[in-house]
Amino acid sequence: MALSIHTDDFQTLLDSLKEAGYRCVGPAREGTVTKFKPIEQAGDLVLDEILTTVSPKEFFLAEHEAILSYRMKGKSDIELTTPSKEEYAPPTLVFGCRPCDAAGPDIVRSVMTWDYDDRFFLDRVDSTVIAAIACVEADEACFCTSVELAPDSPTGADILLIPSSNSTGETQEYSVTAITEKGRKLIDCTTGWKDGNPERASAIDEVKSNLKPSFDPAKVREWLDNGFDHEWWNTATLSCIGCGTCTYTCPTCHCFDIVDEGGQSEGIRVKNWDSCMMSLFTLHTSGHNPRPLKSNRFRQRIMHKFKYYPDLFKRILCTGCGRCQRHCPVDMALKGLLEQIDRLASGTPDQVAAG
Amino acid sequence: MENIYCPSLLKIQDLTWETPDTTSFRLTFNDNSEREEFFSLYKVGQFGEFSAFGHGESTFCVASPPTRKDYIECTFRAVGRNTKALQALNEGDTIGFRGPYGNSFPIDDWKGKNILFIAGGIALPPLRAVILNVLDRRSEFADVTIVYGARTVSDLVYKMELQEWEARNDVNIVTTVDPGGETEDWAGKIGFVPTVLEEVAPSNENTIALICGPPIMIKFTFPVLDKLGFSKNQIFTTLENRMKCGLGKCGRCNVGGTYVCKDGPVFRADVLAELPAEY
Repeated sequence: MALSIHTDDFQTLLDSLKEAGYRCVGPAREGTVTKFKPIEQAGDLVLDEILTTVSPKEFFLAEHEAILSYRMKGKSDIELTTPSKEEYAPPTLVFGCRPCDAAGPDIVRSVMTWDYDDRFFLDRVDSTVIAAIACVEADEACFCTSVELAPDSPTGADILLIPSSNSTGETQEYSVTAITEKGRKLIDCTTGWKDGNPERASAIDEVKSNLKPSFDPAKVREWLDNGFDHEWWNTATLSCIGCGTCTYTCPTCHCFDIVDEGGQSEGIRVKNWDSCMMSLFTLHTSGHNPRPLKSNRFRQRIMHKFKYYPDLFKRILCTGCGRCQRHCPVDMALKGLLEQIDRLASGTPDQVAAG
Repeated sequence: MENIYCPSLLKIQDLTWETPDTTSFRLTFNDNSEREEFFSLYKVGQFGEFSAFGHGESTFCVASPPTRKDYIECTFRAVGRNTKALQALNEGDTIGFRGPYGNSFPIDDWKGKNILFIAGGIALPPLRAVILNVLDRRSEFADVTIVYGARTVSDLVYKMELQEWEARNDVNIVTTVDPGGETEDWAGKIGFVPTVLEEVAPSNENTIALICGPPIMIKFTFPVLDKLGFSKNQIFTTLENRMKCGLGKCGRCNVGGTYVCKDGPVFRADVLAELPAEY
């Protein structure tokens, strides 16, 4: 049966989620940025932005999390405790993210299950329902259609909300589709949903048709196959200041550090977000660094996303959300660089000369 | 679901100072079922994550062979926070260990072959596991030759074992120190590893060469091996890149698209030659 939900019913949904034992996180303001925060009042939801400043990645890959605690028992005996799933993975609804953000955990799952299962990621994915809202707007940084996604793609979402043409001012009706069994279950145990099949907003298809793929990832990958030593990397990455903002705001960047916090007698071992854009990331104890230059590190980032990951897992490690461009302090556009690679691959004379 | 980041607890049974800043641990598993699980998986050349709680984890190759199943050993130089903290521990203290990870030396494919080990300085420990494994299965292999050098006499690790190997008549061992690094009673060679290797001139016939050492030693040893007629598919080495997880997830040890923690750390020289110089 076709379902819908109206903004007027969001509070009902939020109240019933709480009753059903879910916390709801959704886009909300924090200072000058928007990010995913626990939501209890529907009025706190910010759903009119193209994309939040920060992705909901932290609800799958925590920025900082204990993976172990240790405590000395006697002189040389140590007790190790793994945090319980209940602590770090409470039942959660990520409400109102864009399809590009919903695709993030789905893509990252491949590496987190590669021979060894990372329970901290997988438990969170299992206990989290993602309700994505299709896009009625895009900006020049968006490029989901270049990486096999779309403004209304269901990839990674458990529930997909499609804005309808039935909207007045700030109120909006959405058609609702349960994509997964997990999404279906959440709908069944909460209220606010109604029968109905409101007409799809024409803006979605306008966005879709305007957002034409700007590069071909297959062509990019082919160039990358032999492009490791190309001097294009040196010139293309000159303006990068190596701040790592692109990696922290990226919904698919998942590289991490492991460090201990505490003393000899007790403490925790934590996983922290790390960034391939930092020189310390690969620095050997001896002082040798396999990626000493910024251009080496930028190459790693592009190679990882558009060659190594696709080679290993048949998925592009990018959702085209465009945050890396929007928040880059020196306006380095990943999309633009990929377009340049596409042109290099086609052998466009000016680009090859410039390279 | 299992916590893949949770280490086993191992007790320092024996602690040996190899050099003024390098230590070996002999470690026993607190939990016997974890020991059994480790040895059901462990193949020579694999590595692990060793931790002093409160200080982090460090990646070392396991320095003891799978033929000695009561303990594992590791040898490390104190250079960073965790290695310094490990070195400050005493016999009887407990450390954390995760492993074994990565690939291994295919020594079962080398039965009947001559084995040549070439190592420099602190890079002997990764090869020591193979040396001991080969010696424990001595009859399966032909000639065993070891060329090992360090900057000075005091930088040589496993001094007791070097003597034991020298005393054996089924091992040909040559030790050397850099010019100026010798002592008055030094009976070994004086000279750099590549030069000494050229003097020793081991035959390339039916031989597998294992090489591990600082980049400068590797750089000058390859041309010597080439001169001696070794082809790249006869030469193996083990790589180290910075690692955190050891499990293919933390994203930093890759050389091009090859993950040292999963596709390595052991590489045949012809495979390594195809990789970008990101190590």
